[in-house]
Amino acid sequence: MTSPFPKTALAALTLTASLLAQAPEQKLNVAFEIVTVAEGLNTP
Amino acid sequence: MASSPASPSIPNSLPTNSSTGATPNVRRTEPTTPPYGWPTIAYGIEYRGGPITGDSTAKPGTEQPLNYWDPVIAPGNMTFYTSALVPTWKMSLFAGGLGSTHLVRRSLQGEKGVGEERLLRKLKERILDVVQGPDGVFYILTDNRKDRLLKLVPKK
Repeated sequence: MTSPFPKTALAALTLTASLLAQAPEQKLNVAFEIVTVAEGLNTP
Repeated sequence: MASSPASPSIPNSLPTNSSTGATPNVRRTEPTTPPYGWPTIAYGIEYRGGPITGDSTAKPGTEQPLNYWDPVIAPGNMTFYTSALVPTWKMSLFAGGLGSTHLVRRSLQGEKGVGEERLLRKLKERILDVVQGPDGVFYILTDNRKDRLLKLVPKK
């Protein structure tokens, strides 16, 4: 990786991003039925 | 590496999350907000593999994403769930995964993702679009050989 600014600044930015961006698994296990409304739609 | 998702549609009125007592505070882009940096910086990867931006994910004068996924899910679109039909989902952020072939539910506390659940894994279909209908159920558009429109009806 090439960066125009100091490694400490980059590390702080990366750490901040990681803290905000990562989320642990949290299962609510809401039960729902999957109903097919239509198929063969040729979506782009 | 991960992908920086597209901006979701943020409801004008954000009701209190009954399970945590916190009101999600996903920031709107203001004229003074630094740019997100695309395509100079990114967490995404190319279709053929490898970082899009030469592994540059941060740069002075640019804004870091509040939420991203690592490994990448290749998000289709995303939306907040606002209905009272499924109270525990209320104000969670849902994103369809094209590459990951599942639907992600991310709980937010303020601007921070505090929990994540991955749904519809067994379908193994690319999730192109997810929207909440006026009836409070999710409508899902998939992108595979069947190209299906599905709806997720909560069981009582």
